[in-house]
Amino acid sequence: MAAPLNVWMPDNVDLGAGYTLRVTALSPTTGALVAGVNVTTTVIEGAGTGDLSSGDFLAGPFMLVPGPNA
Amino acid sequence: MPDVSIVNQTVTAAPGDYIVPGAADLQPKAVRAAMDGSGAATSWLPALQLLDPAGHVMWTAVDTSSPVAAGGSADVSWFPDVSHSGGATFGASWITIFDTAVSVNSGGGYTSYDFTAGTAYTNDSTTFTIAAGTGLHINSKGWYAQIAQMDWDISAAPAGVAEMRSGIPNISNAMHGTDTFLDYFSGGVEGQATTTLSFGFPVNSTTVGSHGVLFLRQNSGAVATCNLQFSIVRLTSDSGNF
Repeated sequence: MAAPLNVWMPDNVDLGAGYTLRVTALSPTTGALVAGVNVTTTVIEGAGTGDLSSGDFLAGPFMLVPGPNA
Repeated sequence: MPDVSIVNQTVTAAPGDYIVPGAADLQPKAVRAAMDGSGAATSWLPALQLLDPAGHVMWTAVDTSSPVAAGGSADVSWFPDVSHSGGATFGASWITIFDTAVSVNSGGGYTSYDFTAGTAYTNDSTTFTIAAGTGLHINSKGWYAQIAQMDWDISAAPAGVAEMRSGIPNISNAMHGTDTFLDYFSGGVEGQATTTLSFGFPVNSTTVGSHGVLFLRQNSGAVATCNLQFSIVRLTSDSGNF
């Protein structure tokens, strides 16, 4: 993966169901995920409709895989 | 509609995702994350990404100028259209030369001033050098702005006209035909005890090693002195014509 550029969060982002905001740790040289970093708190400020608090906070790609009883 | 705060304090290995639930709509205004990199063996960059429902990364907001060292932690916030300035420093090359009591004879001839008697301050002693006789050398191509000021003390001299002219360097191809000199400024002294003349105009150094001196003259009828301040700053590294 190419190293990321220095960019900021876009303005006027309007997300529908299924879109994901991801907090991650990337390598400065390759842009790849860096292991060994934990996200201990995430706070999103936003406006919107629906029960946003019921959105899924998922941990790691492994959580995206449905479990045996899914 | 007031903003909402969506909080997750469960410790998870990066990446940590928030998926907008069904029948919901979210306009994020800011995101904050506390990240513990104590287990990271390499440096890392906190990043915020947006993924579409198919899992494609749509954008990545990351500040590449502030990597977190291996084992380090970070508390990061992302806002729309806000990024780290990068701590940029003023990078333009400049030189300023001061001198006092520069003696200028009266008459039609110019007094050449090569800057060697002045006190020079510069942040780039490679681009700017001073040599006796040939004056200030500009050793890098580019467009420059020069600003000069002279304060004349003619208290002991009758009224006259003072003039300052810069020969550093020529911009003949761009603005002034084949003129060797850039420009000059002259003004009437009108018998005042002191007067100030100044000018400012661009310089195009199309060849490395352009150099020149100041030319000063006055016709008060007696020797007069002036205090000088001359500054030149590099605007661009492109020496192309207008």
